[in-house]
Amino acid sequence: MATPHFDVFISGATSSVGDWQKAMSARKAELPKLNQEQKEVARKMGISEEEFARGVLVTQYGENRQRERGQSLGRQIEEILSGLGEPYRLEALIREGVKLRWVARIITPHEAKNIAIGQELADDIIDSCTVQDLDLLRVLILESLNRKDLIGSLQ
Amino acid sequence: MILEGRVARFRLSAEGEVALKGFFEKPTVSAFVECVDELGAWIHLPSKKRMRVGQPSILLLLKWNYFSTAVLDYEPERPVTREPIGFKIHGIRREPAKQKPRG
Repeated sequence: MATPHFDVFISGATSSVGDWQKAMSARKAELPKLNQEQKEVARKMGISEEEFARGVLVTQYGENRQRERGQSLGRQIEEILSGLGEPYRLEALIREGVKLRWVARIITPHEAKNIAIGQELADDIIDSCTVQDLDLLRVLILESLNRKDLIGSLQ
Repeated sequence: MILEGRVARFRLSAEGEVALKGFFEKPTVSAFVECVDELGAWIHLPSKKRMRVGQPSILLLLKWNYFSTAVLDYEPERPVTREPIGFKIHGIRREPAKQKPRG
């Protein structure tokens, strides 16, 4: 699979129970090293460093999973942009977990535009990618880029 | 809610230690929080056995009054860089204020 040309930033990441199960059965060698602050908190809470590190690993797994999902969403956005005929470029995708959305930063011939994509639509695109989901994303992006003229012509 | 979808380290309250006697060996518990509601936090019961991804898990209700504090890893949202909105100052140039000598 080709390397994406855009950056993915994850903010406010959450994990899944799968991430947790994976981290709980990870080998000790895979566990992240704790910093001094984390070691101190583990000591104060009466939790072993290994147990604490497994929790940190859950967060890392969650972030990595979200990053992969961002790459998948970004590839669909790049696909849409490639049909515009002008040098539109996806520069970055930012996951704003607390706001339940992704923000796509797109460089247009005139300026940079930030387009918010709701998490529900993003999840549908990533998990199902139906024709209907792709149409919704295409319309959202073209409208946000003031290219309504192309709605219906790009497939 | 900040706890959902994260691993939290809970310290049980005195009431929680009594109510959950037998569930945990220590008064501190690391657990993955599935969701929270008005009753408390629904946590996946940690198991000593090796877990397989996708295996069914048991949820335990940790009532709000069953823990006294919780610690979790949290990375604040990154501030999104904003472009300047375009105001420019024309023809106004402020000289730095001269300090008066003291005494």
